[in-house]
Amino acid sequence: MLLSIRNAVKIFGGLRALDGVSLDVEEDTVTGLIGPNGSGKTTLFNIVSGFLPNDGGEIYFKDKRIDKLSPDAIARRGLIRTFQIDQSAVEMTVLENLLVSAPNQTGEKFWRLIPTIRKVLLEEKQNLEKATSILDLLGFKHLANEYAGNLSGGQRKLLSLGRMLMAGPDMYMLDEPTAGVNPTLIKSLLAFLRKEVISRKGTTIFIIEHNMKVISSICDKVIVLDSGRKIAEGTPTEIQKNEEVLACYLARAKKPR
Amino acid sequence: MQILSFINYWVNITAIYSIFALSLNFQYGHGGLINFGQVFFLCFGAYTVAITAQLGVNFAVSIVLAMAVSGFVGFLMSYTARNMGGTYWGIATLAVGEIVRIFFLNENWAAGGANGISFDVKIPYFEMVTLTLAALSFGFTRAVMASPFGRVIKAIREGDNLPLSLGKDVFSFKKKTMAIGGIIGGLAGALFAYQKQFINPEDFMPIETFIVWAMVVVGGKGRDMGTLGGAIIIQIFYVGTRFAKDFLPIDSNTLAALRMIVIGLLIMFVMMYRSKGFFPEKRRLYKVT
Amino acid sequence: MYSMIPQLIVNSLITSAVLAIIGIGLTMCFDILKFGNFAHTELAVLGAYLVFFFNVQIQWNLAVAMALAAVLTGLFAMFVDRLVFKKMREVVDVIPMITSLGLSIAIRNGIRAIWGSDIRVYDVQLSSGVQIFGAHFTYSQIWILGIVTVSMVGFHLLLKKTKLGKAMRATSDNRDLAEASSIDTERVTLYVWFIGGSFAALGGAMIGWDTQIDPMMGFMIVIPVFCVVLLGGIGNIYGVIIGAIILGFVQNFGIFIDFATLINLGGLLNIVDRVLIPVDYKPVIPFVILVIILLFKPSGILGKEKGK
Repeated sequence: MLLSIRNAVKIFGGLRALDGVSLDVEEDTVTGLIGPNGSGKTTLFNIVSGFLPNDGGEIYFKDKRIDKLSPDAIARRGLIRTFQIDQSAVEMTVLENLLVSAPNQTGEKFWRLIPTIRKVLLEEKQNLEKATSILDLLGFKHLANEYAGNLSGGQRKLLSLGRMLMAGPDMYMLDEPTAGVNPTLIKSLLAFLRKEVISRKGTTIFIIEHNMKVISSICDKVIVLDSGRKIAEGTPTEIQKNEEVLACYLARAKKPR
Repeated sequence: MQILSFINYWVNITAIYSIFALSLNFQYGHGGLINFGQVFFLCFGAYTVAITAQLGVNFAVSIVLAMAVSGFVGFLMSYTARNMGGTYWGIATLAVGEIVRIFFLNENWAAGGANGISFDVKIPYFEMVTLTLAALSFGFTRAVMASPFGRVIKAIREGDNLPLSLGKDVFSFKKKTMAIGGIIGGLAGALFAYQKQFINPEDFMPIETFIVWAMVVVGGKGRDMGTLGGAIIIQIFYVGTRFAKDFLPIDSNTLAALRMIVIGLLIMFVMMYRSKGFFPEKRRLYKVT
Repeated sequence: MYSMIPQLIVNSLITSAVLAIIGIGLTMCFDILKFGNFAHTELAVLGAYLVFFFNVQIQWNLAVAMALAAVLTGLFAMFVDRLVFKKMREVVDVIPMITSLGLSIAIRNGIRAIWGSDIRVYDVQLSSGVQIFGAHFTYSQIWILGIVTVSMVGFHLLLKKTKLGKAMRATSDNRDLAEASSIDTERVTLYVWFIGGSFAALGGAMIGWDTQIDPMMGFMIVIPVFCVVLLGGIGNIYGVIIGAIILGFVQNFGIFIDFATLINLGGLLNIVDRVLIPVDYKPVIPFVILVIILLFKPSGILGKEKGK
């Protein structure tokens, strides 16, 4: 198991946003996380990636506990997530956004800048090449020196995937990557994911989505959350036939606001 | 001859303020940290030099010491920025700036209290020194921001989430940002002390912070060239109006007040209409084949 | 020393009253517009000088002068919002904050240019006042406490009983929701500026009435007022009052507290004899408290308790 969550609990005020959730994500798979709004999906992502502290339970990544670590420490271990609200650095260019995502840059250590300047320059060159090839894949080459703030919403989502590719983590955690993106772009996004990430060995995806087509298209396994609890787990086909799952979505639809 | 010595003075003051403004621009323009107490770097740098110069310590060593002390102060201050965002930290730094000034005002043993310290060390070719150091500071900040290290600092400016999610130790970068800002600010303070040869707490009122903010804001946050431009513009304004009282029926107090009104309005105007400053940041263009 | 306590209490109450009435405007503005207005205390100075103008320079009655100053400052505050801050509703908080810094510089020096840097006092008779429980209250101090109390109570009633008050509370709780419920949040904002500004003006006038005024007084109190707002939690009117009382008393009593007992661990050790905060450092107390609050609990000691 690449990622193991045991009885995760998160409490906000009086609300149990996560009420003892346990799940596993196997290496080299694509696991989907679905559920009605407010079921705790993003909260779970936040707990796993260290952006929120958990109030109970344990989380294991690569067999080591990560639930008390800072978000950057977890990211350095190979788990990187995207955000629902795009966090692209808008005052930096597309290329700079990609370059900053490269891991283990010697040039980021202030004291190494002068002593190992040759190594720094070499790494910059290599990272620039890698970033350029990612731009190619995304079809963004013409936008390389454009401010990320001038990109459309859909383009920014692609950029966040580009950053992930640049960072090359073992575990990709994607939070609603297709939300607000038009259908044609979604197709490209999926093709991109299949070719660059899923087909490669050693990459695992954990994805939150509302779009069931996307889920059925790429997920090996789907986990369903409702009100902070896991209510179902299985293949996309199994989940779509699951009565409890259907019931909870319908119940949400009927609930008075 | 009067004109010549005046030009000398103006060049020195502008160079010193430029360095001071660069230190703020590094923290705010590049790093996104709002320091309303920037003057405390000036203060520590100046007092370190005053104390060491009195003891007969050599010029170069004094300056390095001043930079080290200020850099350390910056490093300590970064701990206060850890949990705090923009507004709160601005208020906190304003408070710290004042605490520092009142400390130096009251503590006679540390630095002469209200009477300050005076020393007699004349530096030959001082204008050459200040200009060179200003150029070096400019070059230094440009080089740092062009590096991968600078790139992370720029990313942090927009928020901690992205850099954290990419594995960057954001707090460590903030500590370094504040330390670098402190080192450069300390340099400005050191030169300020050598220029005046007499310093007391009155030299480190919040007004200094405000003036340097005007310089950074007018110049354009993030663009060091712009910061220099802002420093020169504000300094020209200051000097240009210095003699206004000889032509207008106003006393020096009113003149000082009027000048500050302009500074205040300038800050407001820029923030309202040109929040990126008059010399907006330029993006780094890469060749993409 | 213990005979000083009643007098210290009086001084603390006055400090608290002034801080509270000025703090109300700041906390509301901070809450509704999401930025810390550095120019708020300058409104207090403006009010103080307007009172000086009407009372001393035109020789009008003090009460009239105060009422006029309050209204004019309130209007000025509204005007400033319209002209300057309205454009910044959607912008990140640093921009209006830096703008307010510029504004504070402009107002402070505008006052300095018009009235000069010298200390001024109002045209009031030096009355003997009364003695209550060994403490000396001048008549002006009694009036100050009275006016502040009445203002607070009035404001409380406004918040609880009027439509405007309800709208203010709704906007403060959730601006978007208030807008969706067809509350004109821009109008509410204007009222907040007016009330905040006029209260600040009254606060400044109180300072002038009790002691004196000078152009730097706004800067002198900006940290204590922010401190009070943060102590009580941004947006919490009642928190501001409690924070003001805490700060007022700590500032006045603080220099008499002997920390030696604390340092000696309650008599277990004998490291120091007497450890007092030096009188020269009295102004530093609110600054230090502020930094401590911001380091450990920026949401304020009382957190965000909406005015119930």
